[in-house]
Amino acid sequence: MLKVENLYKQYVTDTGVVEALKGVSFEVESGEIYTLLGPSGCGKSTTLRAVAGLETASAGEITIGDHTVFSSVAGINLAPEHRGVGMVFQSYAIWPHMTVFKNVAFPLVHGVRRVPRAEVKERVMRALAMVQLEEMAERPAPMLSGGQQQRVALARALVYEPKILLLDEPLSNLDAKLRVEMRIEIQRIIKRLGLTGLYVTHDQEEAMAISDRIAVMHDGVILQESVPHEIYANPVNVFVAGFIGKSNFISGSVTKVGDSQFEVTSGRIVLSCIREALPGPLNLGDLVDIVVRPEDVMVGDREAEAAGSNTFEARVETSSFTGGRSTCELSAGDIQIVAELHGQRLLPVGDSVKVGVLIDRIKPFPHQTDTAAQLAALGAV
Amino acid sequence: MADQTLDRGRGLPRSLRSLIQWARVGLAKPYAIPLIVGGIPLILVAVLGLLIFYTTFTPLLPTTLDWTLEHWANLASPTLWTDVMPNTLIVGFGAVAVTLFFAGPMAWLIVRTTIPFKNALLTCIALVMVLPPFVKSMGWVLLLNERIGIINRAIVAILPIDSFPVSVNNVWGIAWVMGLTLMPTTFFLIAGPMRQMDPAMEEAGSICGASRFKIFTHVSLPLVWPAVIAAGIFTFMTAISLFEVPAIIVGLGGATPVLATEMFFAVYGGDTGTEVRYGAAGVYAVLMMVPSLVGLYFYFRVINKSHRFSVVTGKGYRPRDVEIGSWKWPGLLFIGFFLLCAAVLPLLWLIWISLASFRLPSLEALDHLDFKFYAPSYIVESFGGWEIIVNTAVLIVSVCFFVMLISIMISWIVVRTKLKIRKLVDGAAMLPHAIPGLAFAFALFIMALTLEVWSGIVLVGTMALLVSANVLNHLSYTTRVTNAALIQVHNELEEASRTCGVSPLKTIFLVMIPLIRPALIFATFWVALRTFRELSMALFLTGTGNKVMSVRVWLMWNEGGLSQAAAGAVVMTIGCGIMLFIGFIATKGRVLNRGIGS
Repeated sequence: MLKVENLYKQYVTDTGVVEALKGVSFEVESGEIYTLLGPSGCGKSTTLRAVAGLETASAGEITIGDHTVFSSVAGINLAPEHRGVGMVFQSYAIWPHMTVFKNVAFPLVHGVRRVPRAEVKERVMRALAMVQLEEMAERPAPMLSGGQQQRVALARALVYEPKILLLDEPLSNLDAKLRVEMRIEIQRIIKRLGLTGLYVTHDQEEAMAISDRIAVMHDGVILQESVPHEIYANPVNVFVAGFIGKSNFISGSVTKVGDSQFEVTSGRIVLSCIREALPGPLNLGDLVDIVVRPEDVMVGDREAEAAGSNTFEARVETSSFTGGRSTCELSAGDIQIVAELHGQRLLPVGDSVKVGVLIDRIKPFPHQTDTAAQLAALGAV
Repeated sequence: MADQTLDRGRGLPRSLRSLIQWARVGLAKPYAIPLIVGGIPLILVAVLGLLIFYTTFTPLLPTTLDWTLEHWANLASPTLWTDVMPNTLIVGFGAVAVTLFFAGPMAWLIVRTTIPFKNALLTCIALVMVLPPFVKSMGWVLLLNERIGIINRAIVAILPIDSFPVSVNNVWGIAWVMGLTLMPTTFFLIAGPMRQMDPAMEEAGSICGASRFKIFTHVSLPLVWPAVIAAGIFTFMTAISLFEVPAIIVGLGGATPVLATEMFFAVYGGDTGTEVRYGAAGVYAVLMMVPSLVGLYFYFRVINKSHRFSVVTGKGYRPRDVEIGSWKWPGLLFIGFFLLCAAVLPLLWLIWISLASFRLPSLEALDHLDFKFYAPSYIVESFGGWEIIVNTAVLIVSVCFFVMLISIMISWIVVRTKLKIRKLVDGAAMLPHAIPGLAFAFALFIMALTLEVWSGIVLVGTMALLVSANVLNHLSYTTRVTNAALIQVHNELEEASRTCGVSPLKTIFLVMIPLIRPALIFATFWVALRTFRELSMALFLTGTGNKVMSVRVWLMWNEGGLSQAAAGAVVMTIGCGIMLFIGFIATKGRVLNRGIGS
């Protein structure tokens, strides 16, 4: 339905050339909700805006349905109004000088996909009904709440029945409760109408809840593209692991290499990893980054037993109860580890505890020198 | 070759064909039409600016390819350095002195103290701005002229002297009236930053043990300094190029020449029928532009640096007003004195003269008031018939329409696109600010004459020429307003329209213009008012087909019918009042709010 190939984008700013996109390629199937996820400045919005035609890429090709809407080679660059996409903006972009009805009717009355007058009212009311705003039709747009404005924006994007719906951080201006409600509703509507959705967000939780597939972007490239669960369970690198969900990072060196397992030592901690998890040649002394999810850290003599030899002693530094689970910070020598405990357990601060991690929950990656700095900049755990 | 050119289209030379192809691709760009509509006037501005320089090197008109330095040789003329330049400088600096004398204390009193009736006083100052400069000038001549001035006559009647030899008809008088005319602009330029100044900075000064005077000179004054300098430069630039004030007060080619009147005189030469000296006028125009361009340069430097003097603090503080107690009476008296000089006295006296001629005011004279000049039929007749009134209306409407349209397109290019030339466009839009209206009129006049010689198309004396002059002259002001308005409208509001299937040009009219409508109405109103009362350019470009009301008042004044001219001036003032009222309604009162809050 949507195909983006090798998209490049350069900006010229006062300080020099900025490479916003460095070869972004992906394909969205018909009826799918595909999300571009990443921190601000990663190029996700630029990609979406290039698809909409609001921004012109430096190179690459974009195909919507059967139409090539942009191709740097063929010299094609369709104007936004001719691309037939629906778009919901971060600021909603509801025109304050019009009523709700006029906002939604705008594409049908003034756009290139104009419809006969008689049809306008019916279609607008149908779109408003879809977002449960029929009663508000004659209200001036500024007199709506944030959530209602968001619904109007959605209705306006849907009213001319576009093949594809683009959503640029549509929920980021709503409060937490409304955000969850709206994302369920957006998902429901897209699925019911059989639309194709391209969704942009920096919120990983939102991305996982709404998407069929997610592309994690960083620094103008797609790092990983997969279904939500796969991205969480098997991140391709330390960055994706850090950005999706919480993670513990432990840097160590290889101290033993076997056929099926290898061993990484970091200070007092020695952990065994599955050899297949880190394909390629591996030598003693190689630096390795290990990622462990907090919920995979097992704390306590009985709990850690299951991990076999993958255990070590640690001290409880802090412990906080958040209802239904608790989070505690542990230290083993210089290494800090966060663990998430289920149930109503609360570990006393200062206690010495046994900690274990199952071998298949340990994700080893080749050490990257700049990763730590990148993660610190992102504010990941 | 010959065959190729005969065969249409297909046989065109390759270069021409690729040009057409290029144009076709270019016109399809979303920014093509805004760039053309906004760009052509700006190119015209640049061409006109260069034309002024060029004229100074040609014997008569740019139609001849000869060149000469004889006009510049005029610079050696002794009267230029003994009379014209000193006079011009006195007018410039004098006007700055007068504006600051009034604007500084008044801005402080109204913005920072507990003086009563603040809103009413602000409104009065804005109203002063509405009064046409030539009306003020006429009023002052009738008030303070050695022979006919009422003040002079009253003093002679009271004191045992034969004459009271103080008169407004000299270079100091020009500076005085000019200062009164330009004072409101300075006031609003200073009052804005003064209002935003955090009193905590001054309080910090007094906690440090500084005296009130030290705090003023070392804390308060430096903080508003950029605004004061900017206002001073602006006043100077305007004062040396405003033609109508010296023209009314001392006349043309008289004993008190200034650059603006000399330039006019060089082209129109009075009644003597002497040769027309376009080149000399060009030299005067250049002399007039030099301080403006230098001034504009410094103006921008001050504005650019002003962030260092940033007087804006965060939200949530209320400027604390200085308790002035019974000092409010001298304060009110001071402001009252200004209002009396700048508006009340000149206007009242013009009204009196239009009703009672030169009789001294008395109860008895009240019985003899004659309203003949105000009979509707007489008004129409004295303004030269309906044609002139219609001309004036056509002028106002077309100037407003074109200047706003062009400004919107320019602002759209500057604010909304990422085109490389947008900064050049923005800078070019400020050029009209540095070129005095009279110089514009002169350049357009020369251009029209040249065009006439070359092509036979007659533009001299047409409405088109007068409309063009006004449009270009107001462009700097209106683009500032539209730029500011557009910056405040979120980009996505227009992008949403594009994704809804609406073309860029249609988006401008369906979404952008309605959203910035309040700013557009505000700017349109001021342009209309300025165009209505504009005299300098209208007079310079006057011809058979484009006489407007302000020019008629000038003619009445010069033909000696002073009572009639006074009545004309009053009618013009009433016209301004009506426009102000309409503007007041249309903008819900914001029209008088010049950026310093309500």
